[in-house]
Amino acid sequence: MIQLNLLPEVKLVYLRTERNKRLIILICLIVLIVMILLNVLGFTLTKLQKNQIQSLETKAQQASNTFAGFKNLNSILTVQNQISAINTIQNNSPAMGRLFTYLNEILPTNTTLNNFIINNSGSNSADSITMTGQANNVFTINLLVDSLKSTVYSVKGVKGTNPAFSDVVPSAISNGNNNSNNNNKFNASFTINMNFNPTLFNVLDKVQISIPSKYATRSEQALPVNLFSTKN
Amino acid sequence: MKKLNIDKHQTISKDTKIITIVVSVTIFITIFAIFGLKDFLSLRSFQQKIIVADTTAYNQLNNDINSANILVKNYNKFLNNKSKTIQNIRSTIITPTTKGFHYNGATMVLDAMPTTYDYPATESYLQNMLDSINQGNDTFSINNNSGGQSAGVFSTSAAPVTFSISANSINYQALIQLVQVMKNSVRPITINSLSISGSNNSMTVNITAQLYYQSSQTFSISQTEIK
Repeated sequence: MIQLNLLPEVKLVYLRTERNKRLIILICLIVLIVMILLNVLGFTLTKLQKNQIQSLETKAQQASNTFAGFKNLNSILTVQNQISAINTIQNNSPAMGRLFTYLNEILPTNTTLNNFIINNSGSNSADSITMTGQANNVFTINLLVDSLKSTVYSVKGVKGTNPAFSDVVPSAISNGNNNSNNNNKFNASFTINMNFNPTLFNVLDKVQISIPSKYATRSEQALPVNLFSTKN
Repeated sequence: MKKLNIDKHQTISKDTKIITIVVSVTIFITIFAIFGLKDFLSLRSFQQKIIVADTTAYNQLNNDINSANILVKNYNKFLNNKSKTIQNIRSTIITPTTKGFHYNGATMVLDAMPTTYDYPATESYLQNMLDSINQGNDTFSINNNSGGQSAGVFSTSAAPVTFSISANSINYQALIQLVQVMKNSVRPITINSLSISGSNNSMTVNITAQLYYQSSQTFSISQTEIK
């Protein structure tokens, strides 16, 4: 069957153009509506946010004004801050009073000191002791050095194996007149350098030092000899 | 028929023009709308940052108000504490007391940790401390070093003031007493070094130690710029 298109060319173009026009206008209209809606939405959202910001800032301002009602707030804060600092310092300061107990426990009988320097910096590397003194003979000095090397400490009653002193070095020992018949005379002199464990003076810990029982120290005597003496 | 064809052509031409104009206007408006939308989006993002910051600040302020209320309440309790400890401490401190001066917990704390470096006060405090061991030949010197903390400048840690005490011809018991007095001092003292020489009855003692002070606190509400 033969079909004949009786519609003229111009009519065809006209119809196509009309259809395209409608389609394009429709698309453009949709695009415009979408764009306008998006912009309106954006505008509304920013406006809402602005209101929210304003409300929050008003509340924050009211809260800020509340602080004006606190009398002496700066003084109170200062006192609070000072208390905190005092606690920190007290906890970090060495309990230097323990030194005298330790000295009595460490020094053997027949030894006295004439010079004692302790530097406490709170760091292991610089916590040092230098002591100079006399003993009846070099054997007692050796005893002292050995006891220092063997001294351990316990914290809160828990026995430890950590040495209380490290790098114990007798830097100068002189024998003097070594008369073994006169043991009460302080013939030998010594200078001992050593480092100590800062835990020994930690104010927060209950520390005790333990010296092996084979070393007799002055603390075991009822009437110990003076700890410091310049007499030979 | 020919006339009809001419009309059709004209209509087609007119339609094409309309299409061109509509498309052009749409493109023009769309471009502007896109730029506008971009601005709204960036404004929204910026305002969101402000909202988050404002909310955080507001919550922080509320928390601070609650904390301040608790702090003031506890401070008043602390202030009205008339314990014997505080009154005992009062008697050991050199304080410029006047008639009717009320010594309370806060005064005690500020005596223990002054807010400024006060050389004369430090001097009299140390002298008082040395006098308490009843030895006449003591001297002390204070390094005029304020530890680098200027008055009124906020600092979270206390500034040390180093001083040295030199005590001559004191006995062993007085030395122990001196160390004990320093330990019990209301103003916290850290002994850095201790040097003892001599005999039990006549010792020369040099102590290097530190006292402290800490600047006062100021409550302030600051503003932050949001970019």
